[in-house]
Amino acid sequence: MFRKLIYSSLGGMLGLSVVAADLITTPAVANDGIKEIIERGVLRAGVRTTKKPFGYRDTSGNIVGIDPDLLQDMADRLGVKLEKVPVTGSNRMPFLQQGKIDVFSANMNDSLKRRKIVGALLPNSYAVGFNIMALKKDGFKTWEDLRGHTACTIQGSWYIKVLDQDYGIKAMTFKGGAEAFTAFEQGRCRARIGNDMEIWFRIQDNPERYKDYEMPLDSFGYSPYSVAVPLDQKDKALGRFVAGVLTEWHQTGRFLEQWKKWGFPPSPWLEEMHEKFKDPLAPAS
Amino acid sequence: MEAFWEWFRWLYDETGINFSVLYDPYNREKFAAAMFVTVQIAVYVLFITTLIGLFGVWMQRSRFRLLRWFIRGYIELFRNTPKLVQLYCLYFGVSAFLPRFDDGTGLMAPLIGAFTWVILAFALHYGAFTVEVFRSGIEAVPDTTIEAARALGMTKLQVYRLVVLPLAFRICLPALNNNYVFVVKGTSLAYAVGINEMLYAANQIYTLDANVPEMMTVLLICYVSLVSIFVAFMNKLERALKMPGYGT
Repeated sequence: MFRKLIYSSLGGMLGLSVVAADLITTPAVANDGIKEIIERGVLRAGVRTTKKPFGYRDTSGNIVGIDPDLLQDMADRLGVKLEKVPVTGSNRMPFLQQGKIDVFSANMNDSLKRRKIVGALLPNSYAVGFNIMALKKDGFKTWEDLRGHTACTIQGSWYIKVLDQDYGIKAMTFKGGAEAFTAFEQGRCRARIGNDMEIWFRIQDNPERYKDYEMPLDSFGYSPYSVAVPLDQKDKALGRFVAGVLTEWHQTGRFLEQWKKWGFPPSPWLEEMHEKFKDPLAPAS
Repeated sequence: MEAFWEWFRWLYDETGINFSVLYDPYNREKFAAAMFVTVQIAVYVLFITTLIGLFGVWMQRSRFRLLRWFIRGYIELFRNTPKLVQLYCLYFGVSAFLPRFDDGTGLMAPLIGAFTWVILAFALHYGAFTVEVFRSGIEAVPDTTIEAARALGMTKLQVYRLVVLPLAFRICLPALNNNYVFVVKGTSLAYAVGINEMLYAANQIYTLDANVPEMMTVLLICYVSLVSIFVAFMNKLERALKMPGYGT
Protein backbone atom coordinates (compact mmCIF):
# COMPACT_ATOMS: atom_id res chain seq x y z
CA MET A 1 0.00 0.00 0.00
CA PHE A 2 2.70 2.40 1.18
CA ARG A 3 4.96 1.30 -1.63
CA LYS A 4 2.14 1.85 -4.09
CA LEU A 5 1.67 5.35 -2.81
CA ILE A 6 5.35 6.13 -3.24
CA TYR A 7 5.36 4.66 -6.70
CA SER A 8 2.32 6.57 -7.83
CA SER A 9 3.54 9.87 -6.41
CA LEU A 10 6.92 9.25 -7.99
CA GLY A 11 5.15 8.52 -11.27
CA GLY A 12 3.12 11.68 -10.84
CA MET A 13 6.23 13.73 -10.19
CA LEU A 14 7.89 12.19 -13.16
CA GLY A 15 4.91 12.98 -15.32
CA LEU A 16 4.80 16.56 -14.00
CA SER A 17 8.45 17.07 -14.59
CA VAL A 18 8.11 15.79 -18.13
CA VAL A 19 5.31 18.31 -18.70
CA ALA A 20 7.39 21.07 -17.11
CA ALA A 21 10.42 20.16 -19.20
CA ASP A 22 8.20 20.16 -22.20
CA LEU A 23 6.91 23.64 -21.36
CA ILE A 24 10.41 24.98 -20.94
CA THR A 25 12.19 23.41 -23.85
CA THR A 26 9.53 23.25 -26.55
CA PRO A 27 10.68 25.60 -29.27
CA ALA A 28 8.07 27.89 -30.75
CA VAL A 29 6.36 25.37 -32.98
CA ALA A 30 6.46 26.09 -36.66
CA ASN A 31 2.85 27.14 -36.75
CA ASP A 32 2.55 29.16 -33.54
CA GLY A 33 1.90 32.42 -35.37
CA ILE A 34 -0.85 31.03 -37.49
CA LYS A 35 -2.24 29.01 -34.58
CA GLU A 36 -2.55 32.13 -32.48
CA ILE A 37 -4.46 33.89 -35.25
CA ILE A 38 -6.86 31.02 -35.70
CA GLU A 39 -7.44 30.67 -31.95
CA ARG A 40 -8.00 34.40 -31.67
CA GLY A 41 -10.31 34.31 -34.68
CA VAL A 42 -8.90 37.63 -35.87
CA LEU A 43 -6.12 38.55 -38.29
CA ARG A 44 -4.65 41.85 -37.15
CA ALA A 45 -3.31 43.50 -40.27
CA GLY A 46 -1.51 46.83 -40.67
CA VAL A 47 -2.76 49.01 -43.53
CA ARG A 48 -2.16 52.57 -44.63
CA THR A 49 -5.00 55.05 -44.55
CA THR A 50 -3.58 57.85 -46.70
CA LYS A 51 -2.20 55.98 -49.69
CA LYS A 52 -4.91 55.95 -52.29
CA PRO A 53 -5.53 53.42 -53.84
CA PHE A 54 -3.35 51.06 -51.77
CA GLY A 55 -5.01 51.81 -48.48
CA TYR A 56 -7.16 54.84 -47.69
CA ARG A 57 -10.38 55.89 -46.01
CA ASP A 58 -13.41 56.19 -48.25
CA THR A 59 -16.03 58.90 -47.72
CA SER A 60 -17.71 56.91 -44.94
CA GLY A 61 -14.43 56.38 -43.11
CA ASN A 62 -13.86 52.71 -43.97
CA ILE A 63 -10.34 51.68 -44.86
CA VAL A 64 -10.43 50.37 -48.41
CA GLY A 65 -8.02 49.76 -51.26
CA ILE A 66 -5.78 47.14 -52.77
CA ASP A 67 -4.02 46.27 -49.48
CA PRO A 68 -7.27 45.73 -47.52
CA ASP A 69 -8.61 43.55 -50.37
CA LEU A 70 -5.47 41.42 -50.31
CA LEU A 71 -5.53 41.07 -46.53
CA GLN A 72 -9.26 40.28 -46.53
CA ASP A 73 -8.52 37.40 -48.88
CA MET A 74 -5.93 36.08 -46.42
CA ALA A 75 -8.35 36.35 -43.50
CA ASP A 76 -11.08 34.58 -45.48
CA ARG A 77 -8.78 31.69 -46.27
CA LEU A 78 -7.82 31.34 -42.61
CA GLY A 79 -11.48 31.50 -41.71
CA VAL A 80 -10.98 34.43 -39.35
CA LYS A 81 -12.11 38.03 -39.22
CA LEU A 82 -9.89 40.82 -40.48
CA GLU A 83 -8.99 43.65 -38.14
CA LYS A 84 -7.50 46.57 -40.08
CA VAL A 85 -4.99 48.42 -37.93
CA PRO A 86 -4.02 51.84 -39.34
CA VAL A 87 -0.24 52.17 -39.55
CA THR A 88 2.12 54.84 -40.84
CA GLY A 89 5.44 54.60 -42.63
CA SER A 90 7.29 54.98 -39.35
CA ASN A 91 5.35 52.69 -37.03
CA ARG A 92 4.52 49.71 -39.25
CA MET A 93 7.78 47.87 -38.54
CA PRO A 94 7.75 48.51 -34.75
CA PHE A 95 4.12 47.31 -34.63
CA LEU A 96 5.16 43.99 -36.16
CA GLN A 97 8.14 43.66 -33.82
CA GLN A 98 5.98 44.39 -30.77
CA GLY A 99 3.37 41.86 -31.85
CA LYS A 100 0.62 44.48 -32.20
CA ILE A 101 -0.13 43.18 -35.69
CA ASP A 102 0.37 39.81 -37.40
CA VAL A 103 1.04 41.07 -40.89
CA PHE A 104 1.08 44.31 -42.86
CA SER A 105 0.60 45.26 -46.46
CA ALA A 106 1.35 48.93 -46.09
CA ASN A 107 3.04 50.35 -49.15
CA MET A 108 6.52 49.44 -47.95
CA ASN A 109 9.46 49.51 -50.35
CA ASP A 110 11.38 46.26 -50.15
CA SER A 111 15.02 46.63 -49.12
CA LEU A 112 17.79 44.47 -47.71
CA LYS A 113 17.97 46.73 -44.67
CA ARG A 114 14.28 46.27 -43.93
CA ARG A 115 14.51 42.52 -44.41
CA LYS A 116 16.77 42.44 -41.34
CA ILE A 117 14.01 43.99 -39.26
CA VAL A 118 10.81 42.40 -40.52
CA GLY A 119 9.94 39.27 -42.45
CA ALA A 120 9.40 40.93 -45.83
CA LEU A 121 8.07 38.24 -48.11
CA LEU A 122 8.67 37.22 -51.68
CA PRO A 123 7.10 37.48 -54.15
CA ASN A 124 6.80 41.26 -53.87
CA SER A 125 3.23 42.43 -53.97
CA TYR A 126 3.38 45.27 -56.47
CA ALA A 127 5.81 47.90 -57.69
CA VAL A 128 5.87 51.60 -58.37
CA GLY A 129 7.98 53.10 -61.11
CA PHE A 130 8.90 56.56 -62.34
CA ASN A 131 7.22 58.46 -65.11
CA ILE A 132 6.64 62.05 -66.16
CA MET A 133 3.81 64.49 -66.24
CA ALA A 134 3.98 66.59 -69.37
CA LEU A 135 1.83 68.77 -71.57
CA LYS A 136 -0.11 66.77 -74.16
CA LYS A 137 0.93 69.20 -76.86
CA ASP A 138 4.62 68.38 -76.29
CA GLY A 139 3.86 64.83 -77.44
CA PHE A 140 6.68 63.06 -75.60
CA LYS A 141 6.67 59.35 -76.41
CA THR A 142 10.01 58.05 -75.12
CA TRP A 143 12.58 59.16 -72.57
CA GLU A 144 14.82 59.99 -75.52
CA ASP A 145 12.37 62.75 -76.56
CA LEU A 146 13.28 64.62 -73.39
CA ARG A 147 16.95 64.96 -74.33
CA GLY A 148 18.29 68.41 -73.51
CA HIS A 149 15.14 69.45 -71.66
CA THR A 150 14.80 70.37 -68.02
CA ALA A 151 12.64 68.30 -65.69
CA CYS A 152 11.43 69.16 -62.20
CA THR A 153 11.75 66.62 -59.43
CA ILE A 154 12.49 66.16 -55.75
CA GLN A 155 15.92 66.72 -54.23
CA GLY A 156 17.99 63.61 -53.80
CA SER A 157 16.11 61.37 -56.23
CA TRP A 158 18.40 58.52 -57.22
CA TYR A 159 17.54 58.63 -60.94
CA ILE A 160 18.77 62.18 -61.54
CA LYS A 161 22.29 61.08 -62.46
CA VAL A 162 21.03 58.19 -64.60
CA LEU A 163 18.69 60.42 -66.59
CA ASP A 164 21.41 63.02 -67.07
CA GLN A 165 23.98 60.50 -68.27
CA ASP A 166 21.65 58.33 -70.39
CA TYR A 167 19.28 60.91 -71.85
CA GLY A 168 20.84 64.29 -71.11
CA ILE A 169 17.80 65.32 -69.07
CA LYS A 170 18.62 68.23 -66.79
CA ALA A 171 17.01 68.00 -63.39
CA MET A 172 15.74 71.01 -61.48
CA THR A 173 15.07 69.80 -57.97
CA PHE A 174 13.00 71.02 -55.07
CA LYS A 175 12.51 70.25 -51.42
CA GLY A 176 9.10 68.65 -51.80
CA GLY A 177 6.62 67.30 -54.32
CA ALA A 178 4.31 70.32 -54.13
CA GLU A 179 7.09 72.75 -55.02
CA ALA A 180 8.20 70.54 -57.89
CA PHE A 181 4.66 70.35 -59.29
CA THR A 182 4.19 74.12 -58.92
CA ALA A 183 7.45 74.91 -60.66
CA PHE A 184 6.49 72.54 -63.46
CA GLU A 185 3.02 74.03 -63.88
CA GLN A 186 4.55 77.52 -63.90
CA GLY A 187 6.64 76.51 -66.88
CA ARG A 188 10.06 76.25 -65.26
CA CYS A 189 10.63 72.81 -66.70
CA ARG A 190 9.35 70.61 -69.47
CA ALA A 191 8.24 67.67 -67.36
CA ARG A 192 7.72 66.65 -63.77
CA ILE A 193 9.44 63.36 -63.05
CA GLY A 194 7.90 61.37 -60.23
CA ASN A 195 6.31 58.26 -58.84
CA ASP A 196 3.88 57.03 -61.53
CA MET A 197 1.02 56.36 -59.08
CA GLU A 198 1.29 59.86 -57.66
CA ILE A 199 1.26 61.48 -61.10
CA TRP A 200 -1.58 59.25 -62.28
CA PHE A 201 -3.79 60.12 -59.32
CA ARG A 202 -2.99 63.78 -59.54
CA ILE A 203 -4.28 63.83 -63.11
CA GLN A 204 -7.30 61.61 -62.28
CA ASP A 205 -8.32 63.56 -59.20
CA ASN A 206 -8.08 67.00 -60.83
CA PRO A 207 -9.36 66.44 -64.37
CA GLU A 208 -10.17 70.11 -64.92
CA ARG A 209 -6.80 71.42 -63.76
CA TYR A 210 -4.81 68.80 -65.65
CA LYS A 211 -6.88 68.45 -68.81
CA ASP A 212 -3.90 69.46 -70.96
CA TYR A 213 -1.49 67.10 -69.20
CA GLU A 214 -0.66 63.43 -69.57
CA MET A 215 1.63 60.66 -68.29
CA PRO A 216 2.94 59.50 -71.65
CA LEU A 217 6.00 57.30 -71.10
CA ASP A 218 6.72 53.74 -70.01
CA SER A 219 7.65 53.80 -66.34
CA PHE A 220 11.17 52.79 -65.42
CA GLY A 221 13.11 51.92 -62.28
CA TYR A 222 10.39 49.87 -60.60
CA SER A 223 10.85 49.54 -56.88
CA PRO A 224 8.96 46.53 -55.53
CA TYR A 225 6.82 46.68 -52.41
CA SER A 226 6.60 44.02 -49.73
CA VAL A 227 4.03 42.42 -47.49
CA ALA A 228 5.64 41.54 -44.15
CA VAL A 229 5.15 39.28 -41.15
CA PRO A 230 7.26 39.25 -37.96
CA LEU A 231 10.84 38.22 -38.76
CA ASP A 232 10.65 34.94 -36.79
CA GLN A 233 7.48 33.97 -38.67
CA LYS A 234 8.97 34.49 -42.09
CA ASP A 235 9.92 30.88 -42.72
CA LYS A 236 7.19 29.33 -40.60
CA ALA A 237 3.61 28.55 -41.46
CA LEU A 238 2.39 32.16 -41.30
CA GLY A 239 5.10 33.45 -43.60
CA ARG A 240 4.68 30.60 -46.06
CA PHE A 241 0.90 31.04 -46.04
CA VAL A 242 1.11 34.78 -46.81
CA ALA A 243 3.72 34.17 -49.50
CA GLY A 244 1.41 31.55 -50.96
CA VAL A 245 -1.49 33.99 -51.20
CA LEU A 246 0.82 36.57 -52.83
CA THR A 247 1.99 34.00 -55.36
CA GLU A 248 -1.58 33.09 -56.15
CA TRP A 249 -2.56 36.72 -56.65
CA HIS A 250 0.19 37.01 -59.26
CA GLN A 251 -0.60 33.65 -60.82
CA THR A 252 -4.31 34.20 -61.20
CA GLY A 253 -3.89 37.81 -62.22
CA ARG A 254 -5.72 39.30 -59.24
CA PHE A 255 -3.14 42.10 -58.93
CA LEU A 256 -3.66 42.88 -62.61
CA GLU A 257 -7.43 42.93 -62.00
CA GLN A 258 -6.93 45.40 -59.16
CA TRP A 259 -4.89 47.62 -61.48
CA LYS A 260 -7.71 47.52 -63.99
CA LYS A 261 -10.31 48.16 -61.30
CA TRP A 262 -8.53 51.36 -60.25
CA GLY A 263 -8.09 52.46 -63.83
CA PHE A 264 -4.30 52.45 -63.76
CA PRO A 265 -2.30 52.22 -66.95
CA PRO A 266 -1.01 48.66 -67.44
CA SER A 267 1.99 47.80 -65.28
CA PRO A 268 4.77 45.97 -67.16
CA TRP A 269 6.13 44.83 -63.80
CA LEU A 270 2.87 43.10 -62.82
CA GLU A 271 2.50 41.56 -66.25
CA GLU A 272 5.99 40.13 -65.97
CA MET A 273 5.18 38.65 -62.56
CA HIS A 274 1.94 37.18 -63.91
CA GLU A 275 3.91 35.59 -66.73
CA LYS A 276 6.52 34.22 -64.31
CA PHE A 277 4.02 32.47 -62.04
CA LYS A 278 1.74 31.25 -64.79
CA ASP A 279 0.48 27.69 -64.53
CA PRO A 280 2.33 25.80 -67.32
CA LEU A 281 -0.53 23.30 -67.63
CA ALA A 282 -3.31 25.85 -67.79
CA PRO A 283 -5.23 25.73 -71.05
CA ALA A 284 -4.28 28.70 -73.21
CA SER A 285 -6.91 31.36 -72.96
CA MET B 1 46.72 65.83 -61.26
CA GLU B 2 45.12 62.55 -62.25
CA ALA B 3 47.25 60.75 -59.67
CA PHE B 4 45.99 63.17 -57.04
CA TRP B 5 42.35 62.38 -57.83
CA GLU B 6 43.11 58.65 -57.99
CA TRP B 7 44.61 58.78 -54.52
CA PHE B 8 41.12 59.47 -53.22
CA ARG B 9 39.78 56.40 -54.99
CA TRP B 10 42.51 54.41 -53.25
CA LEU B 11 41.52 56.06 -49.97
CA TYR B 12 37.93 54.91 -50.50
CA ASP B 13 38.95 51.36 -51.39
CA GLU B 14 41.27 51.13 -48.41
CA THR B 15 39.40 52.98 -45.68
CA GLY B 16 35.83 53.49 -46.89
CA ILE B 17 36.23 57.28 -46.67
CA ASN B 18 34.40 58.26 -49.82
CA PHE B 19 35.37 61.59 -51.39
CA SER B 20 33.59 60.65 -54.61
CA VAL B 21 33.40 64.35 -55.47
CA LEU B 22 37.16 64.24 -56.10
CA TYR B 23 37.79 60.95 -57.91
CA ASP B 24 34.55 60.66 -59.92
CA PRO B 25 34.87 62.98 -62.96
CA TYR B 26 31.08 63.39 -63.26
CA ASN B 27 30.74 64.54 -59.65
CA ARG B 28 33.87 66.66 -59.90
CA GLU B 29 32.58 68.59 -62.89
CA LYS B 30 29.15 69.09 -61.33
CA PHE B 31 30.66 70.37 -58.12
CA ALA B 32 33.12 72.68 -59.87
CA ALA B 33 30.29 74.15 -61.94
CA ALA B 34 28.27 74.60 -58.76
CA MET B 35 31.16 76.40 -57.09
CA PHE B 36 31.28 78.82 -59.98
CA VAL B 37 27.54 79.46 -59.69
CA THR B 38 27.95 80.18 -55.97
CA VAL B 39 30.63 82.76 -56.72
CA GLN B 40 28.48 84.23 -59.48
CA ILE B 41 25.48 84.64 -57.21
CA ALA B 42 27.66 86.17 -54.49
CA VAL B 43 29.21 88.72 -56.86
CA TYR B 44 25.90 89.83 -58.34
CA VAL B 45 24.22 90.07 -54.97
CA LEU B 46 27.13 92.00 -53.43
CA PHE B 47 27.04 94.51 -56.25
CA ILE B 48 23.27 95.07 -56.27
CA THR B 49 23.08 95.11 -52.47
CA THR B 50 25.64 97.91 -52.37
CA LEU B 51 23.69 99.92 -54.94
CA ILE B 52 20.48 99.41 -52.96
CA GLY B 53 22.32 100.51 -49.83
CA LEU B 54 23.61 103.73 -51.44
CA PHE B 55 20.28 104.68 -53.02
CA GLY B 56 18.38 103.62 -49.93
CA VAL B 57 20.36 105.78 -47.59
CA TRP B 58 20.01 108.71 -49.97
CA MET B 59 16.25 108.23 -50.05
CA GLN B 60 16.16 107.83 -46.30
CA ARG B 61 17.67 111.29 -45.89
CA SER B 62 15.60 112.85 -48.66
CA ARG B 63 13.42 115.92 -48.09
CA PHE B 64 10.42 114.11 -49.59
CA ARG B 65 8.36 112.36 -47.02
CA LEU B 66 7.05 109.83 -49.56
CA LEU B 67 10.53 108.59 -50.40
CA ARG B 68 11.39 108.28 -46.73
CA TRP B 69 8.25 106.28 -46.08
CA PHE B 70 8.91 104.07 -49.02
CA ILE B 71 12.38 103.16 -47.88
CA ARG B 72 11.19 102.68 -44.28
CA GLY B 73 8.54 100.26 -45.52
CA TYR B 74 11.05 98.41 -47.68
CA ILE B 75 13.46 97.95 -44.80
CA GLU B 76 10.75 96.77 -42.41
CA LEU B 77 9.39 94.29 -44.95
CA PHE B 78 12.66 92.75 -46.04
CA ARG B 79 14.54 92.88 -42.75
CA ASN B 80 11.75 91.33 -40.73
CA THR B 81 10.84 88.34 -42.88
CA PRO B 82 12.89 85.18 -43.42
CA LYS B 83 14.96 85.01 -46.56
CA LEU B 84 13.56 81.64 -47.66
CA VAL B 85 10.01 82.97 -47.36
CA GLN B 86 10.93 85.97 -49.50
CA LEU B 87 12.53 83.76 -52.10
CA TYR B 88 9.50 81.43 -52.25
CA CYS B 89 7.14 84.41 -52.33
CA LEU B 90 8.90 85.88 -55.34
CA TYR B 91 9.67 82.63 -57.13
CA PHE B 92 6.32 80.87 -56.69
CA GLY B 93 4.02 83.75 -55.75
CA VAL B 94 4.85 86.95 -57.63
CA SER B 95 6.10 84.96 -60.61
CA ALA B 96 2.66 83.41 -61.11
CA PHE B 97 1.22 86.85 -61.89
CA LEU B 98 3.84 87.78 -64.46
CA PRO B 99 3.40 87.05 -68.15
CA ARG B 100 5.00 83.97 -69.71
CA PHE B 101 6.72 83.68 -73.04
CA ASP B 102 7.86 81.02 -75.45
CA ASP B 103 11.49 80.23 -74.67
CA GLY B 104 12.21 79.10 -78.21
CA THR B 105 11.72 75.40 -77.58
CA GLY B 106 7.95 75.65 -77.23
CA LEU B 107 8.01 75.87 -73.44
CA MET B 108 5.92 78.71 -72.04
CA ALA B 109 8.53 79.83 -69.57
CA PRO B 110 8.10 82.43 -66.85
CA LEU B 111 9.39 85.92 -67.57
CA ILE B 112 11.97 85.79 -64.80
CA GLY B 113 14.10 82.71 -64.31
CA ALA B 114 15.14 81.10 -61.06
CA PHE B 115 18.64 82.58 -61.16
CA THR B 116 17.34 86.14 -61.55
CA TRP B 117 14.83 85.64 -58.74
CA VAL B 118 17.56 84.40 -56.45
CA ILE B 119 19.73 87.44 -57.18
CA LEU B 120 16.75 89.78 -56.72
CA ALA B 121 15.50 88.14 -53.54
CA PHE B 122 18.93 88.02 -51.89
CA ALA B 123 19.85 91.54 -53.03
CA LEU B 124 16.60 92.95 -51.65
CA HIS B 125 17.01 91.05 -48.38
CA TYR B 126 20.61 92.07 -47.71
CA GLY B 127 19.98 95.51 -49.26
CA ALA B 128 17.67 96.32 -46.34
CA PHE B 129 20.54 95.63 -43.94
CA THR B 130 23.02 97.53 -46.07
CA VAL B 131 20.88 100.68 -45.99
CA GLU B 132 20.98 100.57 -42.21
CA VAL B 133 24.72 99.96 -42.21
CA PHE B 134 25.31 102.96 -44.42
CA ARG B 135 22.99 105.05 -42.27
CA SER B 136 25.01 104.17 -39.20
CA GLY B 137 28.11 105.40 -41.01
CA ILE B 138 26.60 108.64 -42.21
CA GLU B 139 25.10 109.46 -38.84
CA ALA B 140 28.50 109.00 -37.25
CA VAL B 141 30.00 111.81 -39.30
CA PRO B 142 30.06 114.78 -36.90
CA ASP B 143 27.79 117.73 -37.77
CA THR B 144 30.73 120.04 -37.09
CA THR B 145 32.67 118.46 -39.95
CA ILE B 146 29.78 119.00 -42.35
CA GLU B 147 29.34 122.58 -41.16
CA ALA B 148 33.05 123.21 -41.65
CA ALA B 149 32.87 121.89 -45.20
CA ARG B 150 29.81 124.03 -45.94
CA ALA B 151 31.65 127.04 -44.48
CA LEU B 152 34.46 126.41 -46.96
CA GLY B 153 31.92 127.02 -49.73
CA MET B 154 31.22 123.47 -50.83
CA THR B 155 27.81 122.73 -52.28
CA LYS B 156 25.55 120.20 -50.57
CA LEU B 157 26.36 117.58 -53.19
CA GLN B 158 30.07 118.23 -52.89
CA VAL B 159 29.89 117.85 -49.13
CA TYR B 160 28.04 114.57 -49.53
CA ARG B 161 30.36 113.23 -52.20
CA LEU B 162 33.72 114.47 -50.94
CA VAL B 163 33.31 114.58 -47.18
CA VAL B 164 30.38 112.63 -45.82
CA LEU B 165 30.47 109.51 -47.99
CA PRO B 166 34.22 108.82 -47.80
CA LEU B 167 34.13 109.25 -44.03
CA ALA B 168 30.94 107.26 -43.59
CA PHE B 169 32.24 104.45 -45.77
CA ARG B 170 35.33 104.04 -43.63
CA ILE B 171 33.32 104.15 -40.45
CA CYS B 172 30.83 101.50 -41.50
CA LEU B 173 33.32 99.23 -43.23
CA PRO B 174 33.53 96.63 -40.41
CA ALA B 175 29.74 96.38 -40.23
CA LEU B 176 29.60 96.25 -44.00
CA ASN B 177 32.11 93.38 -44.07
CA ASN B 178 29.93 91.50 -41.66
CA ASN B 179 26.96 92.00 -43.92
CA TYR B 180 28.91 90.92 -46.98
CA VAL B 181 30.06 87.72 -45.32
CA PHE B 182 26.39 86.92 -44.73
CA VAL B 183 25.77 87.50 -48.44
CA VAL B 184 28.46 85.02 -49.49
CA LYS B 185 27.36 82.37 -47.02
CA GLY B 186 23.69 82.97 -47.72
CA THR B 187 23.99 81.89 -51.36
CA SER B 188 23.43 78.30 -50.19
CA LEU B 189 19.72 79.00 -49.84
CA ALA B 190 19.43 79.15 -53.64
CA TYR B 191 19.26 75.36 -53.59
CA ALA B 192 15.62 75.69 -52.50
CA VAL B 193 14.59 76.81 -55.98
CA GLY B 194 16.77 74.38 -57.90
CA ILE B 195 19.82 76.53 -58.52
CA ASN B 196 22.86 74.36 -59.06
CA GLU B 197 25.06 75.86 -56.35
CA MET B 198 27.40 74.05 -53.93
CA LEU B 199 24.88 72.76 -51.39
CA TYR B 200 22.60 71.58 -54.22
CA ALA B 201 25.41 69.72 -55.96
CA ALA B 202 26.56 68.22 -52.66
CA ASN B 203 23.02 67.02 -51.97
CA GLN B 204 22.90 65.32 -55.38
CA ILE B 205 26.21 63.59 -54.72
CA TYR B 206 25.60 62.38 -51.18
CA THR B 207 22.16 61.05 -52.10
CA LEU B 208 23.67 58.65 -54.60
CA ASP B 209 26.94 57.84 -52.88
CA ALA B 210 25.64 57.88 -49.29
CA ASN B 211 28.67 59.88 -48.13
CA VAL B 212 27.02 62.69 -46.17
CA PRO B 213 29.86 63.20 -43.63
CA GLU B 214 32.48 63.45 -46.40
CA MET B 215 30.39 65.85 -48.50
CA MET B 216 29.62 68.02 -45.47
CA THR B 217 33.34 68.24 -44.79
CA VAL B 218 33.96 69.26 -48.40
CA LEU B 219 31.19 71.88 -48.18
CA LEU B 220 32.58 73.27 -44.96
CA ILE B 221 36.07 73.58 -46.39
CA CYS B 222 34.74 75.20 -49.58
CA TYR B 223 32.67 77.81 -47.75
CA VAL B 224 35.44 78.60 -45.28
CA SER B 225 37.91 79.06 -48.16
CA LEU B 226 35.51 81.16 -50.18
CA VAL B 227 34.63 83.45 -47.28
CA SER B 228 38.27 83.63 -46.15
CA ILE B 229 39.43 84.82 -49.55
CA PHE B 230 36.71 87.41 -49.56
CA VAL B 231 37.41 88.57 -46.00
CA ALA B 232 41.13 88.80 -46.75
CA PHE B 233 40.33 91.10 -49.64
CA MET B 234 38.01 93.24 -47.52
CA ASN B 235 40.58 93.47 -44.71
CA LYS B 236 43.11 94.70 -47.21
CA LEU B 237 40.63 97.33 -48.33
CA GLU B 238 39.99 98.28 -44.73
CA ARG B 239 43.71 98.77 -44.09
CA ALA B 240 44.22 100.70 -47.32
CA LEU B 241 41.40 103.10 -46.43
CA LYS B 242 42.49 103.50 -42.82
CA MET B 243 42.07 107.04 -41.54
CA PRO B 244 45.04 108.30 -39.57
CA GLY B 245 43.98 109.11 -36.07
CA TYR B 246 40.52 107.57 -36.29
CA GLY B 247 39.67 104.94 -33.77
CA THR B 248 42.95 105.12 -31.91
